[in-house]
Amino acid sequence: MKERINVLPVPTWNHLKVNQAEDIFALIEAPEGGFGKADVTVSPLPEGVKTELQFPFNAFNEKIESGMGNEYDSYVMKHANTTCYLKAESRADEVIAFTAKVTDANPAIVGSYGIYAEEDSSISVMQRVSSDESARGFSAELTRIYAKKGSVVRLYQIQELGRSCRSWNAVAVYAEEGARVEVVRAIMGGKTAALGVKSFLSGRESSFALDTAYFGDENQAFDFNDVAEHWGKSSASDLYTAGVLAGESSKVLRATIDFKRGATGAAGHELEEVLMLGKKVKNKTVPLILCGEEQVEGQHAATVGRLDENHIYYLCSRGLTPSQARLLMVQGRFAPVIDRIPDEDLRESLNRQIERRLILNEQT
Amino acid sequence: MKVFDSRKTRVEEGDRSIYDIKDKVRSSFEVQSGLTEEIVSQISDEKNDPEWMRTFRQKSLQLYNSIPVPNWGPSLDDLNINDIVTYVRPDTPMRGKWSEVPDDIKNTFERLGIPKAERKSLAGVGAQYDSEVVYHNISAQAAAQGVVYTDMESALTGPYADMVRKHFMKLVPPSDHKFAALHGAVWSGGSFVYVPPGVSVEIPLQSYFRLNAPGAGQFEHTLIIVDEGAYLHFIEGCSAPKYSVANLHAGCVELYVGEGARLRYSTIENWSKNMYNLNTKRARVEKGGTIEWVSGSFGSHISYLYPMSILKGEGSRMEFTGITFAGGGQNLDTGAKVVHAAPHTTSHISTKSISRDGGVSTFRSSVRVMPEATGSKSSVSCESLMLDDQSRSDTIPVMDIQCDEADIGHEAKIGRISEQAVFYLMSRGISEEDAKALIVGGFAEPIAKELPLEYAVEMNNLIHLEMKGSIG
Repeated sequence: MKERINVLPVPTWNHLKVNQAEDIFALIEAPEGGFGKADVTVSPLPEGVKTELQFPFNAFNEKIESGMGNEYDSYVMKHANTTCYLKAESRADEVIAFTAKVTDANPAIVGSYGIYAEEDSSISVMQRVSSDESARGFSAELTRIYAKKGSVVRLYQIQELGRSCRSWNAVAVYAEEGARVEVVRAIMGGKTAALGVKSFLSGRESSFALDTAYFGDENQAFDFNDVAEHWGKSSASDLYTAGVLAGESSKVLRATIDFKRGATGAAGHELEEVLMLGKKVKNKTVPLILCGEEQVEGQHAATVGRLDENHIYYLCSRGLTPSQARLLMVQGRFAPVIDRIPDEDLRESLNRQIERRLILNEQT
Repeated sequence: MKVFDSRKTRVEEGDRSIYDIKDKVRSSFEVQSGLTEEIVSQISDEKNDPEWMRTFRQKSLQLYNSIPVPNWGPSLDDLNINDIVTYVRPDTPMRGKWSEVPDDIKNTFERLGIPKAERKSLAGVGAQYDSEVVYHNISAQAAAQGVVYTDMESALTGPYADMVRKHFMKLVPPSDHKFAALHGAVWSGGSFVYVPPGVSVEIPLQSYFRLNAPGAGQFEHTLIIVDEGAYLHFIEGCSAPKYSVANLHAGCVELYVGEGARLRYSTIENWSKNMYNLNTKRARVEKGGTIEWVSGSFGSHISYLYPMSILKGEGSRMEFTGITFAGGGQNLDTGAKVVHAAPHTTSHISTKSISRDGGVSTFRSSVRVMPEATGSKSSVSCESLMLDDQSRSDTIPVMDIQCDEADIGHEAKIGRISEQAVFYLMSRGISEEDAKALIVGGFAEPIAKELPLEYAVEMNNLIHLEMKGSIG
């Protein structure tokens, strides 16, 4: 495929191979008759939320792109085999659950989704994608969020695809004055997974929080491109990513905070923690701060490496086994993300999965 | 509280009169502008290149023609190599005494403080004027220790010819990038230093590069070999008067740091603001060796400058301390690169950048940790200060970590001068302008303290000049 995805907002040395996603993340060519049917269900909508036939904001398409870029967005919109556009008209606290499954019978999910939140409304959406164990297929999703003045949008994305599946997932956010958008991602599966969130913080005091947890092992490869663009005065962004790389897995994380001129009083923070647990893992971290405005506060920090041996020693001295100590420390890193998922069973299931995979990777 | 941003006054540029004095161009030979096989051959003829160098230059030219202009970094659209004169030989041979250097050239270096610094605090000086070195001298004490410090032209054919050939453009091959290829084709001037095993050169050596001819390029080559257990501090300075046409600097610095050796390489770059500074610097460090870079970037219209360290030997170390000050009309893309290629290697990068009056400052870095670099540690810290909303400041770091037994930390901050700090200083009777200058001086202080005193004073003066009248 010719689409360029996850393009770094400002390019750097080509030999580092971070200016865009590499070929292993290339999109799948659509067959003549389209991708067929997608296996996606949506839970009943709470009061105050209804569906729309089209995403109800035309200017969005012209101005706003997802973190994976316009070419990806066009691909999804052109080839979508499932669409769902939600409109929140008042405060709706109940979580709307999208459940997508890649199966042998329905191996492709190309989902175009939209969330439109009216003034002072709120909406929470959880998108889960998984697969049958034997299934070979993919999911390619795009969620566009338009948050009007004072609204709150929460989006939870959990990806648990099998190792014969591939995944692409993009989010585009537009936030008006005082609006808040929160995106929580737990990326556990897929042979390859490319993701990108871009938020366009247009309004005064608009805010965006992105919390990501990922666990890579075997030969999994992840590629992220997350961007927070600050246009509005006193807008705020917080990007947190915690991950484990084991086996022969690899990951590229591009995370950009972009302060546009006029965004006085804006603040952006970004933090990444990567735990490397294998001789053959590969990690690339590319945290950009772009700044065209003086009255801002931007910060990013990253730590990459092993668990601190002193911490493990301390925990062991308090009666834990080394394995338990390591698990505790890994869960501590993931907790800010996992604990925000509004489904206790799912939280427990993810924690069990992290424990199982950690033990498995310690043994190999 | 007072609104500080409401009444700014600006001066366009600090007082650069020392740097901006233009001498009459007096060359004994210069090539035509542009870049052709004939021009490269002419340079070889003029410099009496050995045969291998003639071939090397022509191959580099071929590479230059085949390698594209970088598709990242500041725009180089206005740089036309056909307008650049790549070789201007001043009409004086290299001298070992300042009294023998022609008056106008000597006076220029006097104004820049070079002979005075040599008398006071240097073990040797090389002074390049346009394409060739016009003065070179080393103290008797350093010479007695067996330290070799000479111009590259002499080194190429002198007793160290084999050593030069063995190392020349091996760390920075002409295939590295387009301007490394250009350097390989038209290089001239520069210095060669060899410090024998165990020798510690207690006071620094300095090379100063002055580009006087309008529309000319300077392509000096610096090759330094610090042998096992030796120590050297090398200082590099550069400046040029401002012209309305583009000038180009595409120098190359290759540093070989032997086992247990230590090299400190300090640069105060103050090119004029019509200069394209596309310089390449690289060090290779053997077991237990240390490379320390101290880099101040104040001048140039456009800069691409990222000193690179290859930590090849176990336990080798690098430290990079840098400051970049981008004012009006400047787009300075600076930073550092390091490759950890052996176990227990350590790197620490610390930079500060300041942008004002429409200047663009970009910090760009890459930290690569190879699979074999177990037990390695790296930390990167960069802080940026924006002094107005006309300027830009970008941070573009990359960490490529391929080893699970390594500890890597990175932090970056961007912000403005704290209004509370200014308010406090003003409440103690300091004017707002002085308060802000004081805060910027404090911001740059960790860099200043890494420089020799004279250079720290020069840097502080430059900051003060750049700050003066910017706020008020």
